[in-house]
Parts: sequence; structure tokens; C-alpha cells
Amino acid sequence: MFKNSICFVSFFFLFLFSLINFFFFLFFMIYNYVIFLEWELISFSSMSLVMSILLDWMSLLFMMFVLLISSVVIYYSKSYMSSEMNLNRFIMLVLLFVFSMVLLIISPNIISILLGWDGLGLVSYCLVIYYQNIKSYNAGMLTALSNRIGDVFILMVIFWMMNYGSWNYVFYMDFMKNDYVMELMSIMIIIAAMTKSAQIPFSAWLPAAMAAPTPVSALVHSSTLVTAGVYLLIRFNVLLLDKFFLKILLLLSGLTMFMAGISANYEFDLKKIIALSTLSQLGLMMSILSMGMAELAFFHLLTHAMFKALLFMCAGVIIHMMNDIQDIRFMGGISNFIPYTSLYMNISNMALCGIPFLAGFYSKDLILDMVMMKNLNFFVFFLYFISTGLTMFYSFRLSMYLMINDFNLLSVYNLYDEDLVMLKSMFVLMMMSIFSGSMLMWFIFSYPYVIYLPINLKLMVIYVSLFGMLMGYMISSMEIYLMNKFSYIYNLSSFLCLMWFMPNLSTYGLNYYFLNMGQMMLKKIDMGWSEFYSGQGMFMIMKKYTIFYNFFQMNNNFNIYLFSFVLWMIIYLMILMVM
Amino acid sequence: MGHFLGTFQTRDLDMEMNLQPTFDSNIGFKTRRTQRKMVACEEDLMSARVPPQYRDYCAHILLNYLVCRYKHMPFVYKCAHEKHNYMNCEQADYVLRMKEFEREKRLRQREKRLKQESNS
Amino acid sequence: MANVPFLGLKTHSQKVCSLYKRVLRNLEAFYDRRNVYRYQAVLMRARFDKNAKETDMRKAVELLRQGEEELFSQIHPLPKKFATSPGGVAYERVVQSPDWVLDYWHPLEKAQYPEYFKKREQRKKEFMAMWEKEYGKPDPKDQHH
Repeated sequence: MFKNSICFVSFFFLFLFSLINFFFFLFFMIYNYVIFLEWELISFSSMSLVMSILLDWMSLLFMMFVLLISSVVIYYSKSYMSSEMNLNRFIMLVLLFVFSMVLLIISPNIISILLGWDGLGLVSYCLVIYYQNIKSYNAGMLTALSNRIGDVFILMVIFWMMNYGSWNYVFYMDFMKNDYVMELMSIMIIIAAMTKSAQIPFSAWLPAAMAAPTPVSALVHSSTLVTAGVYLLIRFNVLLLDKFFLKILLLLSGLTMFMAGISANYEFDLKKIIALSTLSQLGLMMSILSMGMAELAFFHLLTHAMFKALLFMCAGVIIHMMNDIQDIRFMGGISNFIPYTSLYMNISNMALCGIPFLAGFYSKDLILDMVMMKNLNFFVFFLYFISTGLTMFYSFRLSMYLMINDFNLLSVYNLYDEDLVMLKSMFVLMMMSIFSGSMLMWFIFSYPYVIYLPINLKLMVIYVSLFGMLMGYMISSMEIYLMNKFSYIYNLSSFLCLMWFMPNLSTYGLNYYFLNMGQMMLKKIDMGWSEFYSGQGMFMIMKKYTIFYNFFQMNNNFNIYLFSFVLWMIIYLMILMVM
Repeated sequence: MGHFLGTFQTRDLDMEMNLQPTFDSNIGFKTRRTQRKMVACEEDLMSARVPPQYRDYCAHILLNYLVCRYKHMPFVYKCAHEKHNYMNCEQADYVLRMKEFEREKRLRQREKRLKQESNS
Repeated sequence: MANVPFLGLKTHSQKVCSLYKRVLRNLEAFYDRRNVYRYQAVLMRARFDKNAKETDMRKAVELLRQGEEELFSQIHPLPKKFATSPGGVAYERVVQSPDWVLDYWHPLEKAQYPEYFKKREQRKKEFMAMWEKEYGKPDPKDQHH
């Protein structure tokens, strides 16, 4: 009883703060307020240390969503982590994570952004290695090292900002945005955001981070941590207009979307499928951001946070129920055993696919319409629409594998819906993932987007979704000749299956060489040659010669000493005579 | 994509998507066309803090919508009527711009045709 | 003792059986429906059975090599692993700490479970008595714990 009370207390306060934030959001939205607080920590002669806080409707709304999801996740982990010995440690880590996320959200200052950003990286590392096995350690190292690149880029931005004399970038960003240094800074900010949001060169860590416990994945790797990069770019979106690098970002994020969609179709790990779909949606957000529509990216970020957290929590129930089995080949027909969870899972899947009038529909449809109204070339256009179809494709495949196919688990089983704690916490998110789309659509767009399209282009989203659904049905019932087909295009299949070898190319490959070099340096140079020649070796040589000279000096060999003295004198005299 | 397909036949006319009309506005019209009037006044827009890109010919309807939002803030869906009005106005505006674009295209085609006929 | 690997050496039949098992697991990774998998497994069994009576050792080794090669060229990139077995997602997730860790608890910690530790001391004495009866006194020079 006492052991689990921390869950309830944290749930209660986070939920309360979330509600308060919601009311403040409404208030700020009506009056169009922005509050900029400067809290002076130290003032010492001419130096003052100021912590600055920015509250506007964007930060308040995002805080509300983060706090809501984290409260629900903490409530959920009371049941999910009930066999955990150190529940307090777990909840503390999650709370630390939430606080650093909030710090990131409310800070208009690059230093405090770095604090929040590093806090996110560190705590997410601790959460990924929460289960202490080799797989988690590898995944945690991958996560930490990939995110470290972004940290370094933020640090470099801090150094560049020294040129302007202040780290509160909101003060001068509008005026200095055409400055050359600002362009460099925008490139660095984009790269930092790409590492956190797992865009293409750095995308290997997000599926690997699924080694974390499932509530952590629901909070961290679906809705908050990975959207920190998107949020950073939204904050800096004044910088992001008409830069050449944005076109590269558009290409990379479009490719991320496509790559993640394809690999999710080949993946069999339940959590990794959902992680790859997160990656795909992140690509969507980043690409719409790179066209300069930050509000749309923010809208999709919020709705996506809701249904993706719900999807992960459903996956958590399934994994818990199946005794840690995550492979969807073991599953099938579970909707007979867990009707409620299947209901939630289907709703969140449909919201993800953009079935009309659920949460995902509003944001995704709006984004795709805006994409169609832009002057884009065919390549980007098809990346968008194929990825939308692929979303439907893998979601339908996942549903088929989980719920409709034959029962496929071990012969002795005991499957049931989990206790009411999990179901209640999922219920909150289910309501949000049904209603948050239309709610936010009304709230956050004071100036509605007006869309003019021919009917076929407008219905293109529906067409590709239906096509994806058909493909998903076909691939989930593809049985007899599967292996022949797979081995016929074995190289291509494994290329698509393993995320375009992205882990091997970028992250494992890169990290491997540097880590290996570090270890080699340690072994061969620090503890090897340099020790042999400089440290220990010099000591040995000194010791040897000291002993040798001691033989002359100390050991009563005065005659030898004199003899050598006389000998040297003779040589000296001879040299003098010769000269 | 619309740009690519829509300009497929008219590449030689060198039309851009955000083209200003280059011909005299009264060519081919029996009646005189006058300039459109901006209904919303600048002071209202400034006091409502409407961003510059929204200060177009529909701004007075947009102001209605914003006032309605302000009145019923938590229940914004009550402003569906105002929002629809604004959308309709924007749509009419867009259709007008499309017509201007089409007129520009046809006038350019005509000019080209006339030039060819005079050459031959 | 046939199953105990002696210096990593395996007999030919062991190698074939291991190949057969790996091939079946690979088939299981590809065909997730039970009935389809059974059909494919029977076909695969027939391929193995066809050459089961091969007496020419050179030919048998060659067949085994071919089989290994075929398996390698068709192995699933994401093999189906049981969660708690090596290679699975939950492998070594729950760590069972060894029994001797209990002996290094602080006396205050031990005092929280007095009855268990009283019984444990008793059991340790019994175990030592049994050990000495069976193997004799431990060598006093061997101070490894």
C-alpha cells in the first residue's frame, strides 16, 4: 500500500498541474498574452545571473500535454511495474525526466535549454538501461552517444551566441536573423534537433531505445523526448526561413518518414513497429516544419503524443500479459481475450492512420493539404503520400497480426485484460485521442487555414489510405510462398528490414570505430607503449642507471672513482695537446 | 504537383504561381472595373493584433470570427458559423484570383497568337 | 555422455540434427501461421530424410555443407526468439542474485528477518557437516571463498 503511494501522489499532482496549465492556456489564448519572467538568482556587482521563463500559449499547451501523459503513465506504471523492487527509483527517474522536459519547454534561454536538453539525454539514458542486461546497455549507449552529438551542437550554439552578448535569443532573433552567424547557428540548431528527433543519419537509436520498460517508451520515446527537437525548431522557427539547409532537412525528414514506414512493415517486434511509426510521424513533423509551418507541426506533435502514448500503453498491456514476449509472430487472435485493450489499440491505430474525426485526422489531413498546396516537386510529393499509405499499411498489418490472425502463443496460456489501473489510465488517453484533434483544431488556430484543392487531390489521402489498407491485408495473409519471395529479393529485403542498414552505417559503425579506437588507445598507448616508454619505462631506466651510478658512488669503490677521474683527466689533457 | 501538371501545356507562357497581372485591367470588359475596397479599417486590425498576412479583403469577417472566439472562449465551436463565413469569403477571393490568372494566361496566349499571325 | 560436447567436437549426426533444428527455427520465423509452418516443416523433413541413409561419408559431409550454405543464404534477418532465452528481448532482465550475497548483508539488515537468518545459519551448519562427511576437511591453505 505504502509502496505504491508514490505513484498516486505523483499522478495526482501532475494531473492537477496539467489541468491548471490547460486553464492558463485558455486564458493566454484569449488575451494573446506572452509572459516573460526574469528571475534573478544572483546579482553581484555588474554581473547578474538571471533565470528566464517564457510562458505563452504554445509552452502552456505543450506542458499540459506532457504533464497529462506523464501523470497517466505514472498511474499506469503502478500496475505495470508492480513486480519491480525499486519502484521509487523508477518514478523518481520519470519525474526527473518530466521536470527537465518542462524546463526545456518554458525556457527562452539557450543555457537553460541546454540544461533541459542534457537532463533529457541523461535521464533517458538511465531509463533505457533500467533493465540491466546487455541489450539495454548497448541501446543506452547508442541513445546517449547519438544524443550527445546534439548536445555538442547546442554547446556550439551557446559559444556562437557570445557574439551577441546575451543568451536570451528571443530578444534579438527577429532583428539578427539575416546575420551570417545566425545562419550557422540555425544549421547547428537543426542538426541538434535532428539528433533528438532521430532524423535520418541519427535514426538508429529510437528503435534501439525500446529496450526501456514500456511506460518509459510511452512517455519518453513517443511523445516527449523525441518531440523536444521539433519543439526546439518551433521555438527557433524565425531562423528557419529561406535557408538552403532547410531543403536538405526536407529531403532527410521525408526520407526518414519513408524509411521508417518501410521498415515498420518488415519489423516483427511489437514495440519496434510502434517506434518506427513514431519515427515516421516525426519525419512528417520535421518536414512540415522545414516548409515553415510551425503551427501545423506543433498541432501534429500534440495529437501524435496522445495516440502514440496510448498505443505504447496498449502494447505494454499485451507484453505484460504475454510474459515479456514482444514478437508479434507469437501473437494472434488476442482480441478474444483482451477486448478492452484491443478497443483502445484499434482506436489509437485508427487515429494514427488518420481515419476521419479521430485525433490524427485533423492534423495529418491539414498537413497533407498544405503540402499539396505548396510548389513541391514530384519526389517530395510522393514521399509524403507513399508514407501516408505506409502508415495505414503497417497499422493494419499490426492489427491483423495481433487481433485477427490465428492464435499463435504457447499451448498453455492465461490471457486476460489487466487490472483496472491500466484500463483507467488508458481510458483517459483514449478520450483524448478521440477528441483532442477537433478540440485543438478549434483552439489553436485563431486564423484558420484555407485550403483550395481539386476534389481528387483532396481525396488523395483517402485513396492512399485505402490502398495501404489493402496492402496491409494482403501482406498479413501472405503465407505460402513468403520464404521464396523473401529469398528471391533477399538483399533488398534485408536492406529494407534493417532500416536501410542505418544502424550499421551511422550509429553502430561510427560509434564502433571511435569506441574501438578509444579502447585501442587506452590499451596500446595509455597503458601500453606510452606507459612502457615514458611512465614505467623512464622509471625503469632511471632506476637502472641510478643503481649503476650508486655502484660507483656509494659502495666504497673509491679507487674506481679515482681511476675514472684520472682516466678522464688524461683524455682531457690529450685532447688539449692535440689541439 | 498542381504546379507541375497545371503548367504542363503552358510552359512557353512563363507563368509563375504568384504572378501579378501585367495587362490593363479593363481589356475585354464592357463595363469599367474598379479597385476593390478594403472593408476593415487599419485601426481595428491593429487593435485586434491580426498578423499582416491576414489583413486581406476578408479581414472584416475574420474580425467577426475573432470577436466571437473572444466571447465564447472555452466553447469555440459556437463560432462555426463565423468561421464558415470567413472560409467562404476566402474561397470567393481565391476564385477571383484564379479567374485573374486565367485571364492573364488567355491574354498572353492571344498576344502570342496575334504576333504569329502578323509574322506569317 | 553423447550429448556432452567434448572439446567442441561434434559427431556428424549431431551436426545434422543441429542443422535441422536451426532450419526449423528459421522456417518458423518465416511462416507465422501454424498450419503453413507444419506443411513447410514436413517438406523440409522429407528433404532431410531423403539423404538420411547416406553411407558415403564424403557425400554426407558435402550435403551438410550445402545445407549450411542454404540456411545461411536464407536466414531471417529478424529471427523469432523466445523472450527469456539468449537473444530474446527479456534475456537476463530479471537477475537472480547468488545465494552467498545474503551472507554479506549488514547485521542490521539481517535483523529485519530474524527467523529466516536463524534457520539459514542452522542450514549452513548442516550443509558444512554434510560436505565434510562426504569430501573431508577443506584444505586450510585454500582460502578461496
